[in-house]
Amino acid sequence: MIKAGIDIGSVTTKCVIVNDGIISGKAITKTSVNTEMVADNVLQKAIKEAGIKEEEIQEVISTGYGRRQFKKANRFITEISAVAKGGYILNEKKRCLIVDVGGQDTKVVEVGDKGEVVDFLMNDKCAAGTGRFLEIMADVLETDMDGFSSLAMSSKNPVKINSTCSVFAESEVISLITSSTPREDIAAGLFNSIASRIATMIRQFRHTDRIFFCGGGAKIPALKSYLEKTISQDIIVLPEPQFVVAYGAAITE
Amino acid sequence: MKKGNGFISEEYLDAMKYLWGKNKDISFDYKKYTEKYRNLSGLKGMEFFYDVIAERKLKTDKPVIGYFCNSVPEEIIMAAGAVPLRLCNQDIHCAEAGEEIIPGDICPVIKAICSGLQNDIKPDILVIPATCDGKVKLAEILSSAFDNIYFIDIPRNSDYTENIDLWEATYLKFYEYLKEKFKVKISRKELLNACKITNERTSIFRKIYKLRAEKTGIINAFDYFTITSASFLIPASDWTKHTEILYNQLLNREIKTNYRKNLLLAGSPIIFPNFKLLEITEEAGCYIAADILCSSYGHLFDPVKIDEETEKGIIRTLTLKYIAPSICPCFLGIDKLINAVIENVEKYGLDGVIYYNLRLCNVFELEIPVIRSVLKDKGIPFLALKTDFSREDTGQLKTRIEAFMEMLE
Amino acid sequence: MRNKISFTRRLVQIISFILLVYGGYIFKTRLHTETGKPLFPALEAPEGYMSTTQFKKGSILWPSGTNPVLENYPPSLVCRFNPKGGLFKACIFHFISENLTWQTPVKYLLPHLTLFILLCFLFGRMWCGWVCPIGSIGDFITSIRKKMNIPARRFPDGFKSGLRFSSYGIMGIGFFISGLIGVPNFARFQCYWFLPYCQICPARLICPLFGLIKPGWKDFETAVTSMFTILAWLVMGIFLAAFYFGRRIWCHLCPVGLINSFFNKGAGIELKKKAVWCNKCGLCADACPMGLKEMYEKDSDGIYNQNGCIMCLRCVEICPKDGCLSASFFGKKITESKLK
Ligand code: SF4
Ligand code: SF4
Ligand code: SF4
Repeated sequence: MIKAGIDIGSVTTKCVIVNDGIISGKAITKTSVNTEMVADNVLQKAIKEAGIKEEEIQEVISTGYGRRQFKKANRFITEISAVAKGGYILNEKKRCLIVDVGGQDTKVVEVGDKGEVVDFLMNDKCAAGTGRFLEIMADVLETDMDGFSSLAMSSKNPVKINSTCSVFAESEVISLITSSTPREDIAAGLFNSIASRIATMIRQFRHTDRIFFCGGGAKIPALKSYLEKTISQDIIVLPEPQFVVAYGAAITE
Repeated sequence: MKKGNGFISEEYLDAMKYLWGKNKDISFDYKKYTEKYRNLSGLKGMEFFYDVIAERKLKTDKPVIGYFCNSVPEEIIMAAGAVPLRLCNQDIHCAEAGEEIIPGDICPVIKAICSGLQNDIKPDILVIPATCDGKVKLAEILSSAFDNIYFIDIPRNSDYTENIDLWEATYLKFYEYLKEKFKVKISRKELLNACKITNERTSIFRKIYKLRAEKTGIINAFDYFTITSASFLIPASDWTKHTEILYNQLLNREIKTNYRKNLLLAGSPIIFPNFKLLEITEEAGCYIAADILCSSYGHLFDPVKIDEETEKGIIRTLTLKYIAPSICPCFLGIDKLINAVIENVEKYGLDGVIYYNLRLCNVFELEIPVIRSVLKDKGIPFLALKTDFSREDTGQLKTRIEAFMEMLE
Repeated sequence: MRNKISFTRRLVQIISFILLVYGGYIFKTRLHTETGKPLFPALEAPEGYMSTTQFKKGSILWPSGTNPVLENYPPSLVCRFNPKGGLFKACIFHFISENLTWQTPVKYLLPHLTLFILLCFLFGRMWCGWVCPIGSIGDFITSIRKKMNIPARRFPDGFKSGLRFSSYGIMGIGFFISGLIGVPNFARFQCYWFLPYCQICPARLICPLFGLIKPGWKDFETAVTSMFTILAWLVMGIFLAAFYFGRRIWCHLCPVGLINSFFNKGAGIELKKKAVWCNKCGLCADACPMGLKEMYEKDSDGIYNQNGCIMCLRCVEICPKDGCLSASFFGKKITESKLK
């Protein structure tokens, strides 16, 4: 059975085509104002990669922030359920905690033994603690995401950044730069601040022995290592972290 | 006559007048607001309640005593021959206008009250209880606009054994104040009569509450919260009469429902026109089968049960209606809320609990950690939502509520 | 019916009062005279049971005067339907004290003792809330106070436990003296020290009045009798004041109630609380005539028959949460809290 899952996020739109539970095609683009068109484009790309015809797809399941806009979808589910489904299958069907750092929101989902969502938390309507925050900060430090990440990894002596609000953090960073603090230390401080923000969310859950990491944020090595340091525990990054949600949607029964 | 209430010296009062000078006029059309819900309802008995909240007028020749919150004894006001009117306001326009007087980072209810009072029904006396910090400061801010403000200072530990005598003294003082203000003698009979009226209201409220919890879909959230919002604005006996009519209509109502889950709503008050959250829950197919909110449950659920029919005894019993069982987060004693939540979930077999936290109202937010962990321990699904009157976070809320529903399925 | 429990309780109290106070007449037992025939001869004291003539006729224990209507069957003292004792009595304290002194053979004690223990086993301290004639009088006084719009006085918990402590003292001293004067060497004190608590018991002063009999109210012959007379007046004063101002505060002091209270835990009648349904309004604590707060305080489900509880079920009646408090009898629910 061939199914497609489309995750329309605030920053990127992802699509995964699944043939009997196995990924046969996937695609990703930036989300723009015309969500519907973007979603359709991604779907076509994924179809091409999978080498099938559109008619063969039996079900299109859409998820993510803009899920309702995609009219082609047969069903809508929320990204919370989708990430839980995807994460559960990818981690051999065991109880776990999934941390999804996306563009505009960060979610922590507790998945039970049977793959059910036990509890979840989402950050507030604010960019603090999300991928967007890191992007802005990378801009301020005049580097890109990879550079930002490696800068942070090379720091020996991270500074303390007090604000998690992106607006205030920006001015704090600028004043640090002008007082000629090494950029590495500033970058490390920023990662620390976001990691502690995510860590507080994680600590609200009871079973935190197995933590998986996905979403765009999981592709940033510095974020992973600082998060591990903050909660002093290993975190496993799921394969293809950006596609976990779309995959989860696609395998929804 | 002495100006003001003695909270602030007269000299400063004059200086504060300018606060009100620049307050803009905010009169708008509640009728338009109600139409949407009225059409969804299709219940004949609801017409009256929608009219009440759309007009927001009190037809009476008795003196009107406005008050906030749940800790002001209506019975005493009624016995003194006045009409109690609960002036809590949750209108977004008022809240925005209120920012001209009150700084932005303050609870929107306080802001809304502040500017709303300019256009609202003018009470003869304003009674402000010391529930949250906002209300305390409101007494000061409003004292330049109102001459008659009575401040009820309530000890915050809601444990009966600790504070009952202090509460009694507090209410007695209020009782004496009203007697003096209106130059009336209040007899026991009048007090008992007032208690009877509110008890009737309580008993019909409990009936409707139970019916709603037991029959999924019997009344939608808009109708229900319209009824409870209307109870702020009309005399208790009128409310009882019309709710009785509605209740009888509900009994014979055919229900077809596409609700997916029965949930309990707890947390901050929901008063017309702040129905944003309800719109989302209804759309997501979740039925609010029970609620533990101070604007409905807290306002109407507890009766006065008098043991000692002496004047003092009645007043004392009133504190056991308004303060001791209060689920208001301003008091010490979260047990009551937790008990009520667990009771309702168990009794009516509800699927989960949504905790509505009005943004910037800290006391409600401070309850979340305790409730969350207790309910988790009991295996009751729990979702805390933080939002205000504005509509910009509708998408986020939708995702959360839908995810919660999926989690329950 | 609005106050169903209160109403039933009033009814039971009135009936019990009539039975206890006029029981002597109703059951045709005899006080001074030997005239008339007892209705239940079986209940009369057998020969050689004990004699009340051992104590002085003019003592304060001895009511005097008859009234014309009830001449032949004057109402008896509530504590013992029959002046000669009889196999059944109302008051357990009188019964125990008397027998300690007379050292009655056990076979004579059995009927009353069995009945008493059986009743206690079934109803615990319900005697106090539903039957005791002076408790009923007290409740009547309380309702007069309420009518007169005088607020109740409430006493701190420490004071109440102090009273209970004193109650133990009174019981101990009462029994000790009763036992002591039974010892042959001390027997000569009998006429003065006989039934020491009964001499000061307010019921002894009040109840005969309802039969238009004059209770023995003063005896200044010797130092001991004078002491008892004055003590009796004092206790009477305390009794009236206690009921007038403090609802059932007296009952914390009463040694009869104390003995009953030993049977509260494990009695057939059970007070139950479903804790999670409680909204902590405190109404139960506020309305409890004994001023007990346990019903309010308990945070877990269970049976809460406290020692002080007189099983009046007022708390069950007043609790505004449906089904939160309930009373059951051997596990079968008889009543539960309801809004109306
Ligand atoms: S405690 Fe004594 S006076 Fe009170 S009801 Fe019981 S037996 Fe009667
Ligand atoms: S606890 Fe209840 S039954 Fe016992 S004495 Fe108090 S009110 Fe009466
Ligand atoms: S009266 Fe009932 S609800 Fe109130 S405190 Fe007592 S047991 Fe709880």
